[in-house]
Amino acid sequence: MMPGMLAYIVRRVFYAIPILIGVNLITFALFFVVNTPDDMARIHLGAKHVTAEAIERWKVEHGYDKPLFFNPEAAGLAKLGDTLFVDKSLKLFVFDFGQADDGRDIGREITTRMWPSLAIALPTFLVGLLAYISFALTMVFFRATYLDFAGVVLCVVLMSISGLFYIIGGQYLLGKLWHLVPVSGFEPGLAGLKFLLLPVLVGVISGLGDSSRFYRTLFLEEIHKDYVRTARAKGLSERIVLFRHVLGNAMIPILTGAVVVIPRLFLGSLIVESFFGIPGLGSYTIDAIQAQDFAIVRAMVFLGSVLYILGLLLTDLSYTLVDPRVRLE
Amino acid sequence: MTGLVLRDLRVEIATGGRRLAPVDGVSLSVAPGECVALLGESGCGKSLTALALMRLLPEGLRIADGEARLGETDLFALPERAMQQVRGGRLAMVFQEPMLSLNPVMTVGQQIGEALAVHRALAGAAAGAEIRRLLEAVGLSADLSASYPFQLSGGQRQRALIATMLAGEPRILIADEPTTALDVTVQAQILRLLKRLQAERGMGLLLITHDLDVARDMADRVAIMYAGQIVEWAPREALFAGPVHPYTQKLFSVLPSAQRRGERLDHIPGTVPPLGTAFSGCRFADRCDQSWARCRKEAPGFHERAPGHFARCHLMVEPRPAGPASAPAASGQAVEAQAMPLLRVQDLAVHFPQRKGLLRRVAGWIKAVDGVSFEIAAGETLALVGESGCGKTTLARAILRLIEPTAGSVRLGDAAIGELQGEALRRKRAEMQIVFQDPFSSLNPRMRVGEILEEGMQALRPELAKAERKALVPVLLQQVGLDAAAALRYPHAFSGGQRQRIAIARALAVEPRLLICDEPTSALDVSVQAQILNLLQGLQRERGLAYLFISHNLAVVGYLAHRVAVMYRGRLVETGPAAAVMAEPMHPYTRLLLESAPGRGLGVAEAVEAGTGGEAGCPFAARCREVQPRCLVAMPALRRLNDRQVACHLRE
Ligand SMILES: Nc1ncnc2c1ncn2[C@@H]1O[C@H](COP(=O)(O)OP(=O)(O)O)[C@@H](O)[C@H]1O
Ligand code: SF4
Ligand code: SF4
Ligand SMILES: [Mg+2]
Repeated sequence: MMPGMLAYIVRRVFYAIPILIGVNLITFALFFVVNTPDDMARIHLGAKHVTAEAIERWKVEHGYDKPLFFNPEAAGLAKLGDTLFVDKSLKLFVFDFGQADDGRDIGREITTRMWPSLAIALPTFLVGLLAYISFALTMVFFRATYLDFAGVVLCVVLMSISGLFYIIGGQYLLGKLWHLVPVSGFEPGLAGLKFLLLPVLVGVISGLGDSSRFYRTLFLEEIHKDYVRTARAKGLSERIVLFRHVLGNAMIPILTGAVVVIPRLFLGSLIVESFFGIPGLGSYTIDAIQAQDFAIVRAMVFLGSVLYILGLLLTDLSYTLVDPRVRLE
Repeated sequence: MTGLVLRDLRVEIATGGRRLAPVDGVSLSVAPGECVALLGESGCGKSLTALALMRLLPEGLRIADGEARLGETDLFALPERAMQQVRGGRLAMVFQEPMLSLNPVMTVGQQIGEALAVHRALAGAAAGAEIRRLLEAVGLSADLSASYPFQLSGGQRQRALIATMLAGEPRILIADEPTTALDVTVQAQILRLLKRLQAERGMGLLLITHDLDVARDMADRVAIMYAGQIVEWAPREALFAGPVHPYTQKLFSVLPSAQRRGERLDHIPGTVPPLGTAFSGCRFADRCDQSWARCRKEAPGFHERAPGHFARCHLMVEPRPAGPASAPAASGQAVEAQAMPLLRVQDLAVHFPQRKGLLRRVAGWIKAVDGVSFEIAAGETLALVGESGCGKTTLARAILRLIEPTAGSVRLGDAAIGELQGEALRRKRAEMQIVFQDPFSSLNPRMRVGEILEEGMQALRPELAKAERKALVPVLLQQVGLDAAAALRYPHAFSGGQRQRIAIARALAVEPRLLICDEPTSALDVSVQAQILNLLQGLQRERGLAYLFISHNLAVVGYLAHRVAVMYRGRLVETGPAAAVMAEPMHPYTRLLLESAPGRGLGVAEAVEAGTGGEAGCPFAARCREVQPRCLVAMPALRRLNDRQVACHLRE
């Protein structure tokens, strides 16, 4: 099994290369061909007094003064090398993201800001998974009763309320009115725990309706299968039937479906982070969008795609770990 | 006594404000060490009866009335907790679908261990030893304990399921169609196993089946079920010597067999009454050819005709008043086949590549069909028999060029199918049509029946004008015994047998000369099967159609076919006239198939289950009872012996 697994991983990494190149090309096209360096300069300089010289000066300052793909003025190989494509796009592959408009190194910024993001996103993810599964299992245990029905209604209600409402409502109730937790802010280390509680709680609740309803459907589908009837015919109690047999099988789609998002937890959530003032990658991205800092946005788009591809690879690998029927070949 | 006694079971389902009873007053009993067969067509309530006994009815259904006693225990009165002790303990049940009845992500050993933990408080090494003992008791290797269900064959899974259910040392085992999804050879093995376990353990067996021959081999007493009720209840000898209920009599007379060749099979008019039918008298009255006025007014009682032999019919207590006699079954001789071959298949092979490794290179070939040759004359029926997976369907698809053969040739009349292209291929395809096993998935659910028939004609008989096509639809429907109004309805409005008629009509629409039937009746009840077989025979008489009839049911083959070709692992191992092959099989595999067919007393035990064999020698060597040293090194060729062909070293 092990050598097969290794060959599989190698093959999958090879498959990922053309996808990454495609993503890179599309990002490049979006940021340099659709939205040319001249446009960027014009946006930054404001609409009032944009002269051709001012645009040129901005481009030189920010390193956008080179041709896109081919530099006739350079010598030898540098004709291809000294271009925007190599400078701005190919370097992404070695995680060289260049500098933001304020002159700071984007790569360094990312490595420091991903920890606050993770501090919110990871607990939200884990607590959420546990909460959604427990809630769904409870509904399934009481299936076809009023309790189950009430649970489904609650899910639909939760789903139809905007996520912003939970944020603002949570900040008002727990922060302003009851003074249980700070309204927003962040502090590293154990002392910062109090800042994490509210964003995590809000994150979990805003996903509750959607996910629990989906998991409930998965469980119900499983519970009507023949092998569950066999388990009952053996004389097992309903508790064991539910936990060992139904949950054991339904966990396969649930876990593998969850694995895909794990790498992206580093990126944090745009909305939660900006509302709670978390200095993570989510708020970094939002700020960059507001400040029209294309270098940061480009870096985050590319990073997002890489992590997504990584997530897909992890998903396939996780199948082989939890499902004995899947053998990587 | 520790047997099982069920009295007046009524199972109800509430739908649309009405309470329907799919099981309505069923009583039966199973003594220790006895096998009782519960027999009936699909939908008559057999499974629900069994599930009610286990108190495992699907949601929405409930036990409305009745009493079940297992020894001193009143099953229906037990609290759920106590019932869990009974389930899988003193009363256990094996289900029909071995492919779906085991948990796919737990090992066989774990699944047996669960039952041991609940009922015998065994764990650790003691449980491990008991698991091995149980696996061996059902004829499996103890090593399979660590295997997952997907690693086992259908027969092995059914054995594993039986081992799980034996873990609690049941006094009564219910088996709901335990072999319906399996090949005949595997079916015979599983039935033998059940019979042995029953005798060894003095266990009562309630065997649910739709197959009279299975009941004949296994049962001590038989209950015949119809529309939620037991209509006849008798010791096996009495029942098979002379069934007294008109429905049971019909069940016997619709069965095809080699002895009935050329006869038209009897048929039961109409269909099983759907759930929710309101009955005023006898539930069988609409389909009974002996019914009279009283039958429609008054429900018959359950009368004892002879000691222990009961039937639910007025005829048991009152002779039928004189009246018009029932129509005698028409009979006629099937035309004898003509000599000119219509289809000539030569050295046909289909190999599928098997890919492996980093670069998905072709590592080997699966030889699904490996050098098959045969001929079919116009008006002739050639039956192709063999276990599932031996290559029958692939062969059929290669003949039609639905998949490209790897080698060999197919000639239809004077045309080589393999060399045709475009328009010419299409025209030849119209001369060969196929009818599939599953009448539920082979018809497009979004097209009306009329459109389905026209579509085929439009593609393969472009010379017909639209009006001509339209005019043909009612003619075709009438030929297959359907009402012309059927053209306007969608496939889902029809029963399995009716859909198979539609599929046949669609094939006939393009006027084929050869019809390939791939297990056309194996998904159907016996009474419906008889109707379809009669239809196929009638069409052959009228149109001189040739059939390539793929089947694993040897009784059907013996009844219908002129010649038989037996296939094993991609090759033909025996061919010859049907009567001769059935009466005197020459290849050990053919003999095994015939002995495995139910109704012949379960035959002799086969040492090994289907598995892999040697690469070089006879592919059947691993399972062959007469294997010789040379069989392991040399592959026997298909040799001609008078009008037969056999591939076996013993016949050289
Ligand atoms: N879960 C269910 N819900 C509603 N009707 C059902 C259900 N299961 C079975 N039935 C109906 O009950 C009748 C008897 O079914 P069943 O016992 O499965 O028949 P058998 O085992 O004899 O083929 C059929 O008409 C079937 O449609
Ligand atoms: S009671 Fe009448 S209708 Fe019913 S089986 Fe007997 S003869 Fe036929
Ligand atoms: S060739 Fe040998 S192994 Fe094969 S069927 Fe004949 S006797 Fe058996
Ligand atoms: Mg059934």
